[in-house]
Amino acid sequence: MTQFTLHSIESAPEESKALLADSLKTIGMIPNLHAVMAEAPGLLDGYKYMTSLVQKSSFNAEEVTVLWQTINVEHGCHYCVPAHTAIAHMMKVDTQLIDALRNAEPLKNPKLQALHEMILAIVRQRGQVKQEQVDSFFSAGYQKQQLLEIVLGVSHKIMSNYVNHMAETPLDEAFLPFAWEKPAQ
Amino acid sequence: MTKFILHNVDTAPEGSKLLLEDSIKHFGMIPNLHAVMAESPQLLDAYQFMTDKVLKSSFNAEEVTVLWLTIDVEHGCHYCVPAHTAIAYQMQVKSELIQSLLKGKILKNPKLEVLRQLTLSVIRERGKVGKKTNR
Repeated sequence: MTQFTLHSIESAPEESKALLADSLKTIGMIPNLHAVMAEAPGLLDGYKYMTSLVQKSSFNAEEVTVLWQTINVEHGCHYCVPAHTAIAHMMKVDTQLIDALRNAEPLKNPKLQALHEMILAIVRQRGQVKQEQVDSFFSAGYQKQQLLEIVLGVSHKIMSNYVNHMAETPLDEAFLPFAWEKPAQ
Repeated sequence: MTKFILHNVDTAPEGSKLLLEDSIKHFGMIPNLHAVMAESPQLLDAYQFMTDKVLKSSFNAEEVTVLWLTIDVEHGCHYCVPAHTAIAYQMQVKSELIQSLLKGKILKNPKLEVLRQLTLSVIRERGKVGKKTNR
């Protein structure tokens, strides 16, 4: 494992200082993921900006949770699954939905299940999805805008999931209650 | 194939209009990729933002070319490979390097070859690199 520095505002490269100060202000702490990413200011800046863009997308809180957690669970991200469990609870998402996503179980809501399946197809097939997969996504009530927004979410989570794999980012105390391991397939 | 609209500034959703104008300012045209992405203002915004971040990263023109073209070729992207070939030539990257990347051949410069190999590993192993055991 490559040893990464968990940067503070003091230790971070010059261009990451303001970004970490912003994390501290908006989240009340510097999540260890941001502390690791700070080593590359462009990555941290990109990650934070894309977080805000996903939140401004056409997806509601439940859909954003499905988007983020489906990718996190599929990539087996030991850090992002707990972090996004905490975020989903803060967004008042139904506990049953949160747990189903964490356990990689089918979702009861058929529209959310269609979203979940489209996300998995895009991740597993690296964007080369079949027409019938897209058709069933559209017939659930989604449109091209949402298809593109899944690509936004995948790009966003690749940044955090891959960094957490490389750095084995330690869980922040706030996320410890939601510690997670990939369920056996 | 899903039929996407190739948006222009007039047809694009409100949130994409300024972004497409910005594309015209930078490229002298709206690349069709941006025209498609415009259907989701957030995706187009993110893509333009990240392009800028990669260009401002610690990588020089050759390294950025290795990064982008290695990924484009590995993903088999019929659009991005030609687009980034053009961009690489604009950045005065040597033709020999560009051609090797297009063919997926080993790069002569050992440092760039290491970068190419790590880029490939990150994609193929989905970020699970440098670990003794799989989690």
